[in-house]
Amino acid sequence: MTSKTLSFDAGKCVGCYACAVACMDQNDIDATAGQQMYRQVMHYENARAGEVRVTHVSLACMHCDAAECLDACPSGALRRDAGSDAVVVRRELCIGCHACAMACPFGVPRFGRDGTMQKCDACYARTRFGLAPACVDICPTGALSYDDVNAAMAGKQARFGKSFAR
Amino acid sequence: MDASLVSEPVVLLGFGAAAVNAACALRAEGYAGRITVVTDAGVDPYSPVLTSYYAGGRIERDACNPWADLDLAHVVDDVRAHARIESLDVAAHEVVLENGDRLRYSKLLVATGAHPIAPGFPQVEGYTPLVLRTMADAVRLRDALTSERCRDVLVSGTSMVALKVLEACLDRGKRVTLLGRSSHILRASAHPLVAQRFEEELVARGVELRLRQTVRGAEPADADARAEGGLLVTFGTGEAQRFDEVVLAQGVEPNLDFVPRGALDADRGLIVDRFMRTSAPDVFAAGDVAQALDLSTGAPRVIGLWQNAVQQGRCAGRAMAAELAGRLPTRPYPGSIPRNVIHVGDVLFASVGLPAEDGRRRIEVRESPSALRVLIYEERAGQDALVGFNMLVMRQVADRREFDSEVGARFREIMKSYLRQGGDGS
Repeated sequence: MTSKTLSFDAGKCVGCYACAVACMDQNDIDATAGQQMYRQVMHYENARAGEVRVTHVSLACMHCDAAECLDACPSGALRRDAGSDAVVVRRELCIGCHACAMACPFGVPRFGRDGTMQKCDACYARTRFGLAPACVDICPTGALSYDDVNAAMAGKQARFGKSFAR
Repeated sequence: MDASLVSEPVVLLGFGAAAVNAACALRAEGYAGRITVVTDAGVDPYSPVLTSYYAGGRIERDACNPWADLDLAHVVDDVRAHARIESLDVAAHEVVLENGDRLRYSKLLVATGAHPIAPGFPQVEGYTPLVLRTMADAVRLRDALTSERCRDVLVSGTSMVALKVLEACLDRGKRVTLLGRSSHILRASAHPLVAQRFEEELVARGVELRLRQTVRGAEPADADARAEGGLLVTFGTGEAQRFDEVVLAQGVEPNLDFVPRGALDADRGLIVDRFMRTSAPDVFAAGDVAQALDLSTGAPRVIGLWQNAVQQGRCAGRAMAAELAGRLPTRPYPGSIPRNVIHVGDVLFASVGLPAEDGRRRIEVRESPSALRVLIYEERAGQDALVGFNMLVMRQVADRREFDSEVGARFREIMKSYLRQGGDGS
C-alpha cells in the first residue's frame, strides 16, 4: 500500500489546464473523438464586499478510502490497485450499467462511446515506478502534489493555520 | 453465547455479494476461525446482475464472477457446493442439509438470495418457461436465444429484470413481446410520464408491448411444442399469438423455505436490526432475504440491490467478528433508499426515491428531445424537499454526460432529504 497521496491546493491553482492536457496525453484521450477527459478544471467567481474572487479547481477521481463505486460495481470492473491504492477500472469487464455513476459522490464516472466507464487511475502505471502522476508532474504552480501522506497532512495543517491570519 | 459454540465455524448460507463480503469482512476484522459456505450453485460465485449480459452474448461465463481476482480459497475454508438446505434449527445452532449433514455454527448468515415467481402464468405440459436469476437459468436462456428455432419471445413482466431479459433478446436479434398487467413498465420505480416515454423508445426499437393484459391460456402450437411449433398464447383480449419461448420475469421472493415458521421474525424477508441481526441469537441476514431500514419510509424493507447486498454483508461480517471477539459491533448499516439505473440498448433510465405522486407532492417535468426528467417534491418542515427523481436519456452523448453527473447528485440530495427527517418517512 502506498504511503503517498495526491493533493490539491486551490490557493495555488491558476486554472491553466496544464494538468488536464498532461492527463489527456498520458492516457491517449482524444476529446475530439468524444472521449471523456479524466481531469476537469473549473472556475468559480465569488463576489464579496465589492471584490470578485476567482477560484480555479482541478478535479479527478478522489480514489476514496471507502469508495462507494467499488461497492456498486456488480461486474468486478472496478478494483483497488494493491500497489498504488488507486481505484482503477478494467474496461474489458465494464458492462456500462452506470451503477458507479449513481454511487459516486463527486460525479466522476464518465462513459465512452463504447459504453464503458472511464476515469482517472491516479497514473498507477507511473507511480509504481516512482514517477509522479502526469498532472502533478506538469503542474507549474505546485497546486497538485504527490507527497508522503504525513507531508501532505502537514501542508494541509499549515494552510489551515494560515487561514486564521486572513 | 454458549461457550461450546465459539469453536464452531461461521456458516454462510449463499455465495453471492452478501456472503462474499461478509466473509471478507470477517477476515479483515481478524476472525481466524473456520468459515463454511453452503450454496446451491457451484464453487465459483457469480453476480446475478451479469446473467442477462451472459445470456445476451455480451460477456462470457468467466466474466460472471466479479471476484475472480480475489483468492476466496484463502478467505473461505469450505464450500458446500450444490447443497440444498433442508432446515434451520436456531435453538441447536444447526443447519440441516438435504443430504442429512448437520452443520453447527457459532454465527450464521442467511444470504440465500431470491427466486423468480410466476403468478398466474398457465402451466403447459412439456414446456417449462424460462426465468433469469441463477447462472443455470442464464445458461438455459442463452441456449434458447442462440437456437435458430427461436425467433419470437414473450417476456412476461415489466420489472427491471424483464427489461434486461428484453435487452438480451434484442441483442440476439429476436422479436420480443413484453407483457404486463400494469399500465406501464417499471411500475415500482418509474413515474408514468417517464415510463410512457421509455415504452415509446422500446416500441421504436421493434418491441411489441402488451400492457394492461393478462394471459388466459397457453398450449403447444403444434403437437410437439419443443419441435418447431412453440407455444400458442391466448391473451385476456382473446387474441392468440405464437411464441418460440416464454420468459417469466414478474418478480422474486426470498429463498427462505428452510426457515421454520416462527423461528425468525419475518415479513417479506427476515427482519434485521442495524447490524443485520435477526430475531434469533447469532443469526444474521443480508441481501435479498433481509428486510433492513428503508430511509424513505423509516420501515424495514427488502431493497434488492447489489450495493445493498455488498454493504449489508460487510456489516454482518464485521458484527459477527466483533461479537465472536467479545466486543459490541460498532458500524451499523446506515439504511438505503430505493434506486436503480438500467440501460436497454442506448436508452438510460435512473430512478431514485419514491416515484409515486400523491396529494402532498408536486412534480416538475423537464423535457428535451433526448432526455426527460421528473422531479418529485414534498413539503417538509415548510420547505420543498426532493423525494423522488427519474431521468431517461436517449441517444444524445451530451445528455448521457449530464445523466452520469446528475444521477449521483440527485441520489445524494434525496438521501439528505430523508436523513434530515430521521428516516421516519413522515
